Amino acid sequence: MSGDVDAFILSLTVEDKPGVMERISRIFARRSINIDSITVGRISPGISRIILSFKTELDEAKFVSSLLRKMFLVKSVDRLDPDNSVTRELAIVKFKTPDREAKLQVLKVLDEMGARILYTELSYIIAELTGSPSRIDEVLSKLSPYAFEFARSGIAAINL
Amino acid sequence: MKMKGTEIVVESLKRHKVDVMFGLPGGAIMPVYDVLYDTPEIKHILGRHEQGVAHMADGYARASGKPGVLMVTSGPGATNTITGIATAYMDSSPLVSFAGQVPTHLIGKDAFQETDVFSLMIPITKMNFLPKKTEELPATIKLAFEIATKGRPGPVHIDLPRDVQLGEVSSVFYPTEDLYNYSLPEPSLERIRQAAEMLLSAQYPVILAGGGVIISGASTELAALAEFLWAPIVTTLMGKGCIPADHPLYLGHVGMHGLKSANYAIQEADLVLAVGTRFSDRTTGKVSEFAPKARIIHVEIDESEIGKIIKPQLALLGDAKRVLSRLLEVLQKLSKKGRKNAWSERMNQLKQLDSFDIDWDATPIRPERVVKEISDLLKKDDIVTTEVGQCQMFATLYIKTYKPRRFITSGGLGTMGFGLPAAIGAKAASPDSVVVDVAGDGSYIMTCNSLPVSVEHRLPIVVAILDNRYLGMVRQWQELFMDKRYSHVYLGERTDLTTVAEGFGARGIVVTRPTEIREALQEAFKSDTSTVIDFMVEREANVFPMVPAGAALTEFVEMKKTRGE
Repeated sequence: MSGDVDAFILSLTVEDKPGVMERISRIFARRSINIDSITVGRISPGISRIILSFKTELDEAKFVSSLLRKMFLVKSVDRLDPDNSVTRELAIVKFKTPDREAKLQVLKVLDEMGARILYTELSYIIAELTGSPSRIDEVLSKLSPYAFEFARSGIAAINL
Repeated sequence: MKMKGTEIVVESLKRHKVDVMFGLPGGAIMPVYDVLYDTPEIKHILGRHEQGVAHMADGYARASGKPGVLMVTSGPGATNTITGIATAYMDSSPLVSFAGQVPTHLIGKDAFQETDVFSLMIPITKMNFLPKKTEELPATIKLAFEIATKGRPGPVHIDLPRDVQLGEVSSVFYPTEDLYNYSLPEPSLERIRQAAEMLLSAQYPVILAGGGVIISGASTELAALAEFLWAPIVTTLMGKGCIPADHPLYLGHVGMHGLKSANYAIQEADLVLAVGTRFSDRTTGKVSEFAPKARIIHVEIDESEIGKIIKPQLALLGDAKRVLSRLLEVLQKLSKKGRKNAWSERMNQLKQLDSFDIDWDATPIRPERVVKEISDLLKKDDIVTTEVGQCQMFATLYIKTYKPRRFITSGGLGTMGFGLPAAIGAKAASPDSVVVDVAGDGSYIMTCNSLPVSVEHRLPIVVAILDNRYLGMVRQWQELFMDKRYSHVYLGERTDLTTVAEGFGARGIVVTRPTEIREALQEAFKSDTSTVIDFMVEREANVFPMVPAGAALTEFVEMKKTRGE
């Protein structure tokens, strides 16, 4: 064991059948690898793409990939190289705006970051943020005093 | 013509040439059994416990090379098969397993005898299915047979909800084309050439042959390759039988209880050609000190096994038979004939290490003597199955196996209770062979409830119990590594194993003296009913050679003298 832990993103195409998520996730669970993010969407009739991100050692990541590759419902497994792929995440966030000053501050940052305002109330704003996961982390940290409820989509990614 | 799901299931079995199946009916699978009532062409062997049913199907598969078929009911029926199916999965044995399930509208609602079998089977099968519609059955069953047998074999499970069994379809289409799109991997000629050059330049090449050689049917190719290179062959536990025991290049099996010659050969090798093995910890010993001087070529059909434990210098991803035959072809082109390499003399020296210093005539009987006499009486087509523990290792050491699929043991999972039902399955596959289960008294008790199956179905087997009244292997570890603190391993004196056997309709023989062994075995071998021979053996006999868990392959435990040694 080298002990060096790296971040990995795998892009899988799978048959869209009940239980496919359980088959895939247990490969990670058995080896105590925490899945940081998992996104699934249908890409053609009967076929879904799953994007998985997790951290582990290189040998373990290769082993896990080969286990996934031999599963009957898994059609392909590709490792996405962060330097050679586009990675995006979507977050929907509620920001509290107790007063006018707070509201202006939140709107200013959101505007700078190119967020879309989806809904406003007197006491809060719902906004949509899209970007690389680190970009979203950055916005959320800047507005941490105001953000009070989030939903993050997990990573969608594609090779260059 | 209208057809019910139940009829489709049975018709599919016939189309897959299933002539023997193993099962135990219950509520949720009764509709299929109603059709089996009218299907004399499939011989159904009725088990007494579903674990035994699964081991029987597994024993049948291992002896015949064909997929073993089993059928049980939902809930406890299915959960009882889990040990058996996990055993088959670990040892890459092809099974097609069916379990009834409650009607689809009750799945997930805690109905009577409902368990989430679909999820339970995922980690212990190559694939499993839960068809929700009757029309899915023909393709699902065909797919199950294909997946179980193609590439690296393994068990496939199908849950059959009661309403899917009872549903009717107006026209049935049985697919004939391949449904599982599996393409056999094949190494490039470049890689084969590279392997050939590595083999030719090695001074001390060793071939490590695993269960994959047997599954692939590559024994002839393996022997030819070894003879060309004049390289010694060692086997894993699962590889036993892939090369005849009397082949001059065969040293024996390697690992925790491997022969000294075999373990030394691996440690002294400068090249290991590993074929169809997953480098189990029981084979490698301490991984970082496994074959320390050797470059490794790994011939393997399952990509996920390459580099999992041992990183090879060269991997040849493909079927053992095909890869070895291509490799030999290239070798023959590169070099006119194999040369006697540096091994020849050393091999003879190594073989000297394997003399066993045992008092064969001791009373109480030495377990080694029992196993050796079994081996001496067996013919090459006869079959040995084993339970797990000391008896298994005595069998591995002292049974001479000459053909593939004639030594059947639970290697990966180490399932006590495997041997007796597996012997029944093997007997069903090879009715003309004598089938002997080399058992311990601890293992025997676990699945002796399958014994009546062999009696009632006239599948006579011989159970040779090395009776030491201990969970012997645990006791051995406690003796060697835990200061003889025999914690909960003594089984007591009051159980009479032969009376139990006779209660099941088998014959029981008690043997206490070494001179009685042969006659008891001869009688049992020619008997037309199952025979259980209770050999009262030296209670604290240990299995040697032995390498402690986690030690390098040549760090043998010194043999301590017990009575008779």
